[in-house]
Amino acid sequence: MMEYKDGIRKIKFTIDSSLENVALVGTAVRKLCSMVSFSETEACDIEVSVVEAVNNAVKHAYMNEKGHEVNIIFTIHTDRLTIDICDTGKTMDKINFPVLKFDPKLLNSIPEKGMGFHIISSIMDQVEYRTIQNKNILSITRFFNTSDQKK
Amino acid sequence: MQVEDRKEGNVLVVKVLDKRLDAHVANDFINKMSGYISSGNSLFVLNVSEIDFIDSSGLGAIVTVLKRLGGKGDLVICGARDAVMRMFKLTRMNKVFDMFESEKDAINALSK
Repeated sequence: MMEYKDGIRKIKFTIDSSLENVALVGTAVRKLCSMVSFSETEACDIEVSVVEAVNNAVKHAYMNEKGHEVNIIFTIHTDRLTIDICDTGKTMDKINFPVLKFDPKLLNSIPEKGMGFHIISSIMDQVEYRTIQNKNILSITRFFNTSDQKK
Repeated sequence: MQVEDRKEGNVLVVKVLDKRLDAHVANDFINKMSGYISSGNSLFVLNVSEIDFIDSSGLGAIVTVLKRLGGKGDLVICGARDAVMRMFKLTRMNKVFDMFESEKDAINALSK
């Protein structure tokens, strides 16, 4: 679904809460990013961020249970792209942005999980999480010219 | 998840044929690699040259395989494309795994 209002373009995708659907969103996001001032490299990185966010909704908000909606709203502003990932599952208390501290030579210290938000926060300029009327919304934003806008 | 394998001396070369190593296929990947470990393999070259997308679950799955070796073997990576290499660097996994451009160099490194 696409809307156009006051110079802001908005595209909305809805998928069922299954990991097999996440690649569809990622591929669509990458194509859209390539069309709005992002380089191919940036588009690939933004795809990873969105995939991590949708994975998080499927795995943690819905606990891998199929049959729920995940909405992805892609909003193109004049200076930035914001992608909202929305679910109505379990709410996170807060976002943890883990610093990946580990000793590469110490096997037990190397993380197998918990790297998703590190990746998102490294790639995107702004990351916000809020819950409105039982809907959890993770908003991730990337400015078109990040040189002056980066956190 | 589709992979192909071949033995080069004591080294098992496993090439991932899928374009994506992500949360959807991570467990399948772990199971396949665990099968190779159970069959007595301990030195692995993982050829990721066909992969154009990896997420944190895919990276975590490779770490899981390394941990299942229990320090009694090794797993090195070859053929990482730019997008895949960026994720390894972003998560510092390039410090965990030795990474090679060519399969030959990766095999040689494990055969020493």
